[in-house]
Amino acid sequence: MSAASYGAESGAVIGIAFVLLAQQFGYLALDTLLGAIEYLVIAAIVGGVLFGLLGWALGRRYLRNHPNEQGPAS
Amino acid sequence: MEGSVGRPGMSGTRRPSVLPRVGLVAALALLLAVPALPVSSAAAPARPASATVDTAVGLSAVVYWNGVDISTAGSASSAFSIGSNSQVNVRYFWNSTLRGVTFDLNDARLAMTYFGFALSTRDVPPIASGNFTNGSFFMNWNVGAIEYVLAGTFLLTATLFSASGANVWSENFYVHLVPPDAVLAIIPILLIIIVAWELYAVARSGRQAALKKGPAAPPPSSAPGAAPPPPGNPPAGGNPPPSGGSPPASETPPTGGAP
Repeated sequence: MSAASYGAESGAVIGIAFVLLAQQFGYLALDTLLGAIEYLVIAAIVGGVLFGLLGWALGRRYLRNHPNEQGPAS
Repeated sequence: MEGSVGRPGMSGTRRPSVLPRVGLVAALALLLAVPALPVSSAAAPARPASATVDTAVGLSAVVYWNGVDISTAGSASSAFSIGSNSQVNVRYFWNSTLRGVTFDLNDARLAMTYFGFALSTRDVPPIASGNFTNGSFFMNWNVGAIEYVLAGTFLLTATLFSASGANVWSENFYVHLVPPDAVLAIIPILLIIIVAWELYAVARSGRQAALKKGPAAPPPSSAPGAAPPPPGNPPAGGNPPPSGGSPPASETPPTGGAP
């Protein structure tokens, strides 16, 4: 599993949580089901893409700085 | 291909897929849709209607929220604000706009919706039942136990029902619930913890991917009689060797590779 996948997973969760937090702090009204789902899906996609790119970049940087990193003995 | 690297700081455990975490957040959203307990009612002093909103043929009505017309809170940005343990006087006034036409209204409802579901519903009967050309309903409304669970902006719908159960008038407005004692409710706290944890997971994603990918350079195949590996090799998962060191002797060069 790549760093980009890790980032995309976390980004999707962050996007959904961000929408719910925006409602909790009064910046957004999630009154209708379809509208709320639309917000959540868009936020999950945007968050997944953005954080996937971020994870990819972090993975590249980590491997560049730690070229001999090894996995745990298992 | 499947490694044993788990969440950040949890080496040795398998990282769960995204579905459980998305499910957790979705479960939080569904938790908010649980209908709340009805709130208590009490009669409030009468107040004459000073404005009307025509929404049904022959019937006009106006609803006051602590003396303010709810039509002024028709958008989320102009929502009424309500704090903890606040009692709100909701007053319905209706009248027939057609001469000689009477209505038999026997129910006034105030419903809070979230995700399309009724989070809290409150009904009150009329002061006097029967056919009239005008009438009023009085309701004392409060948030109830919801204020400890969630906050934010919510849609409320004020509705008038006839004796046959038909919806004869309704109007939507928004209310902003302020958490009690300036402390966040349960749901926002959980969401903040989830976001912080996921941000930490993103920050560690590069290392997690590298660890899961395994060693960058596979060890050379040890032939019988071959010399043992030199001491001082870094332990598995330890710090990398100092930069500038000679790479290990191997027939296959280390592959950097994209994550």
